[in-house]
Amino acid sequence: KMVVMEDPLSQERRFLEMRKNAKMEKAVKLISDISFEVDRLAGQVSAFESVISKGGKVAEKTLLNVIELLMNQLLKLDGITVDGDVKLQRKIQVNRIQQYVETMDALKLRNSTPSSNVEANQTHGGTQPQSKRTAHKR
Amino acid sequence: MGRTRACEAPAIGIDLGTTYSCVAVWQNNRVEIIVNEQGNRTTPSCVAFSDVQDCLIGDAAKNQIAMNSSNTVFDAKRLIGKRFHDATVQKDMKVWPFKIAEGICGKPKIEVSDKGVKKLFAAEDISAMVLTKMKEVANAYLNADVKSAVITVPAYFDDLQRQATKDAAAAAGLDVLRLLNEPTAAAIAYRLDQKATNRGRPINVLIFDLGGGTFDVSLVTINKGTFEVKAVGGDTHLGGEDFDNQMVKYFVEEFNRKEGKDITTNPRALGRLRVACEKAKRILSSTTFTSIEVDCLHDGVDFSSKITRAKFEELNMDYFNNCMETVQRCMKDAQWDNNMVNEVVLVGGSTRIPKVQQMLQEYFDGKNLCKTINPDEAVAYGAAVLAANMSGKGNKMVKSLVLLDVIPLSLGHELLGQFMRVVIPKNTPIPITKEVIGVTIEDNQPSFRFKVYQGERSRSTDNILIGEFVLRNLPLAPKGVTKANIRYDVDADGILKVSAEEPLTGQKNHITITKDKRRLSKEETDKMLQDAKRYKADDEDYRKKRNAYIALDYYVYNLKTKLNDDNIRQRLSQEDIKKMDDVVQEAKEWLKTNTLAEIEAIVNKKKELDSKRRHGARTSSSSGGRPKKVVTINID
Repeated sequence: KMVVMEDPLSQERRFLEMRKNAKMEKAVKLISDISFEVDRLAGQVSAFESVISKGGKVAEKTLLNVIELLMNQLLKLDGITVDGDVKLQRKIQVNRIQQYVETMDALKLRNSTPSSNVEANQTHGGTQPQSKRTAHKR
Repeated sequence: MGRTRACEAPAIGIDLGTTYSCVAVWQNNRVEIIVNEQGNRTTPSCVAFSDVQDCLIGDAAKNQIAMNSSNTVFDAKRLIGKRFHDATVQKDMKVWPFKIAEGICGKPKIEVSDKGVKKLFAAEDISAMVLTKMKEVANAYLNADVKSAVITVPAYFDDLQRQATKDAAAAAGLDVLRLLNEPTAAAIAYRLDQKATNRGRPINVLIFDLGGGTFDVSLVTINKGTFEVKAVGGDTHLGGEDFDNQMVKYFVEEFNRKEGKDITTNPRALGRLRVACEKAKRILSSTTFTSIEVDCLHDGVDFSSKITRAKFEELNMDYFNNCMETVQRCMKDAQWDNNMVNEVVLVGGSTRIPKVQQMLQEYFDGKNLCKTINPDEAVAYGAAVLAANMSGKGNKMVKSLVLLDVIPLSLGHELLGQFMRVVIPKNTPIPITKEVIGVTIEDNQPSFRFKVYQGERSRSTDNILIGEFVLRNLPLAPKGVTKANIRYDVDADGILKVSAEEPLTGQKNHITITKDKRRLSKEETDKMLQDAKRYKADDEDYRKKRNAYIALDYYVYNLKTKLNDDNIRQRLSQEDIKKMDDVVQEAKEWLKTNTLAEIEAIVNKKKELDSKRRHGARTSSSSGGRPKKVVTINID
């Protein structure tokens, strides 16, 4: 004869485990969403880089916009509370964003200082080349 | 929905806040807080303009604030109904990321670029956009076209600010059933009016409103469904954000100590830390301990720390103490004792902080606080109840509401010696009508000049001149005989009309003090009230001085009258009359040029005159017998 018994203790443990897992999964999902968005922004960053390294000019505002978008993602990351493995993932993303922000800062500086070969590339600069290249993924 | 939507739409209640707004409606016999399309029960009072799309309002605007800060407008409530040169505007301008320019008539205008075009907006326009948004939120929820609303404003808002809020509502296509004071709305939300009626006695309520950026204390007496604001106080720049800043400061120091690195030069790191701190603050209202973690905060160094509720409280103790001092001051203003307060109502998100609740509770000897309604929504809740009441909806309780408002500063006019005669003292409920009688101060005075002031100081010129008018063609009569009935009318909207009538001839004149001409900013009102306290001793001196001046004036006048009296003239020698006339003439001149003389000078002058008169009397008595004696006695 078999009796099916409810074991409230193990049930409780299971529920707790489930909630913990769900929370973890949600955090992982959020982080991967953010990393996707950062990828997109990274495309823009490299687009700017190539324009400016050729001596082109980009509207300062578009640069600022991208920086702020990156910062927004960073704040989103800060808002995720996790521990263990996922924490490492978060840190990787934070590092990435900070690198891009630094790159952008440097680009902004170079963009604002007048360079000698502006004229040659004037048609190229300022016309939002990044919008065409947003699809470009790393 | 083919049915006529318009006539079915109920009136809504809107809490138009400095940082957040909230909308509520009476439905199914209770108040429903309406959620916006993002599912939030409050909507940021924030409007953003951009180069490519239409302007964004609410959450959408707030979310992009970091990208487009110079074109994102918030805090319009701090600007509404103010003038460009107001001290508060000048101060706030420095911290706002958007630009303020001076428009016509000194009106501040917000300068933004909308789709690449530079545009100027008044604060009303921004508030109108926020109100439109709130209306749309309500429309979507009710599936109807909302036409009318009750909108809340702070109790200290002046006429200009109230009118501007009304204009904003009109621009948003809303008919304002009533502008409701926020503390009153909160009291209504807790149905304290019902409590008062049931007890049969008036009840006193303290409303403690500590929000994101502003702090207000209001004392309200509720009597049989009527609300009277007895006193208001607060700080326009104290709130949750200040608590965050304290925490940020604390962690910056800690980071400096632990890592030897200063992050104050890194605005991005500070921003991240601030967001983390705000989160920690919220957590500390329900737990006693939390940790704060920021990866790669500065120079690649991670930051991780812990904070206890006790530490948080210690960091903000000065602010909390300030709040309690404001409460104390308000209680003193209204001349209330601690045990006279029947209810304490909490409003605003920061009142969730346990220490704030505890301090309030201790101050009121362990009284239970009203905190069952979400403090972020209590004001909108009350507004919705009133909206239902005014449109004839709701249950019996809702239908029994009546409201009373008060004037913020004393009103009166100038008397002889630049003395302020208070006709309507501050915190008098409106509408009110008061009549006083004025008399002439000179013989054959042809006209009265009324200078109407508002303020708390004894010397009229220390108060604010809000208007003046002249009553002409008075009947010629000796000093003090011609009278004028002066009538002060303040209507339900707080508009003042002063009229004067000479009863014998029926000469009349009046002035209506329009919204543009009068009323002060909150800061000016505060300054006025503070000045009144600070200069209490000065004012007392001034009152004495003025009394001395009046006494001297009266004395000289009497002396002159007596000298002109034929009976007396006959009994005096020519020489004496001449001498006394000169004395009187000289005294009159002195009075004219020395209206602001020190009290000693006035008293001395009177003594001097007195001695001259005695001297004159003596010489006359030696030549003309005793009659002058009569004169001297009469004068005193």
